[in-house]
Amino acid sequence: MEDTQLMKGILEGCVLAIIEQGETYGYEILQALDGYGFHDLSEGTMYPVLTRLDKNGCISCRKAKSPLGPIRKYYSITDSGRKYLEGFKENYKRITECADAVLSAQV
Amino acid sequence: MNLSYHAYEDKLNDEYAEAFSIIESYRFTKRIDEKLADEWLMELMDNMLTAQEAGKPVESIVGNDIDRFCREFYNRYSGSDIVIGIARKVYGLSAIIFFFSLIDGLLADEGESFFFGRTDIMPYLCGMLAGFILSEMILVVFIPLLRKRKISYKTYDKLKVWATIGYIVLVGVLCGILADRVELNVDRLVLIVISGGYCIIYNVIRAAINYRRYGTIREPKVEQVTMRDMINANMETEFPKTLLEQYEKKNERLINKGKGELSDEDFMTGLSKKYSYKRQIITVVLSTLGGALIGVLIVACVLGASKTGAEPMFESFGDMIVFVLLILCVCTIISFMIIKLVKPSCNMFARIKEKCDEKGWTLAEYVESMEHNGNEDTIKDKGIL
Repeated sequence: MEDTQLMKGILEGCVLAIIEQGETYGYEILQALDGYGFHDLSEGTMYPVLTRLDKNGCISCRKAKSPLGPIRKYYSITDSGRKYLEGFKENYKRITECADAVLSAQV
Repeated sequence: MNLSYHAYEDKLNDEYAEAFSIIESYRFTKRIDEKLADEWLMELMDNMLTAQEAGKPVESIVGNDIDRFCREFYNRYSGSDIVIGIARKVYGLSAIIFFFSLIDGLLADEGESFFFGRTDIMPYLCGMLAGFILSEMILVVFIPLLRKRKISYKTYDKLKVWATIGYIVLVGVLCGILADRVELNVDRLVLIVISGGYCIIYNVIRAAINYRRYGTIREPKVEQVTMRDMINANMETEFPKTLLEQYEKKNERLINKGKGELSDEDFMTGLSKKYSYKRQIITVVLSTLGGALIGVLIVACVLGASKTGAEPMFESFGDMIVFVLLILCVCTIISFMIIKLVKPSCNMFARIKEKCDEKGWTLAEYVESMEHNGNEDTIKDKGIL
């Protein structure tokens, strides 16, 4: 079974958690996700996630010149983003505990 | 002028450039607002250049399915973005209509009021129609060919240039055909109020949005590479080489004619006059005014030949004054733009001459030193000094 739907649910929280570690930009986020094991991530999905987080006020965006020339967007987490992330972590923990219980019972 | 992502396309290698071109072309199938698409593609360009620099394959950015990447990449285009995009386009159109309505009022026939006369809006409609025809042609014909890999991205880039030229020609043709046959006159005051009012409202709303987002009514300025930076960087390396080539060619011609070579000093002295900033200003201003005068005389002759009887070119002295002021205004703007373009070369030449005089170098030695980054020891080793 494809894990696209599962991925969509958790990607927002994961990207926000990476941004919480420090100001970062698109390529760094992709590399961080790959480093955490998201090898099969569809690379196009990250951009809408960043846009959604920005529109929702969870992250702020600063534009600056990159070392290679183009304008680079640097993302930082906002206060409301931290609150959202805390809520996400609690929900994720609760849901995974319930899912583990159900799936373990099935076995 | 700040650069768009197009300025960095040459930095991409073939596999990255092809992928980028496909992703760029996809935006037209979604009819995505230009400013928004530019912003997204600039970010993608930065990510691609960074990955390329790190030696990663293009799949590390776009994955194995580029069509899927395109669908997801542009999936964030929402209803609110569509509304903002339309509002921005209407703002551009309103500003043009407002400006030219004022000009139309200034050039109104004697007896016609500035505000209460009528303006023909057919030329504006012709421009919009031409833009629509060309954008649909690109969307229906060229984009599918690129996405199906029937044409290369380099061909597509050339087609974009021809499409721009085609747009200008099409506007001219439509104006010529329709604007003379069909007149759509609207009260000038209505045009000015609606277009001007929209411009004011748009800017007020934009300022409010910026203040809410950034704490200032304007978007924060971003330090970035401008066209001038790229031209200046290119000039630092290429201009001295160009001068040296000119010097060598000049001497070649003199030798072929049986004359003696021009010394480096005489050549540089001659160039000092050519690249004198004050002299350039005078030359540009006189050339622009002279060109404008010739243009006006040609138009007057053509108009005079087409008119029957001794009809004056201007209906009143006031009309003539307005016309002259407009011509002077246009000449001033063109002169200013040309002077801005020639100033870097004048400054560059002054720096080269100063360095050559200080170090006792010839032009060839200067170019050699530049190639070795001004390393005097290296130049001495090569026996130039």
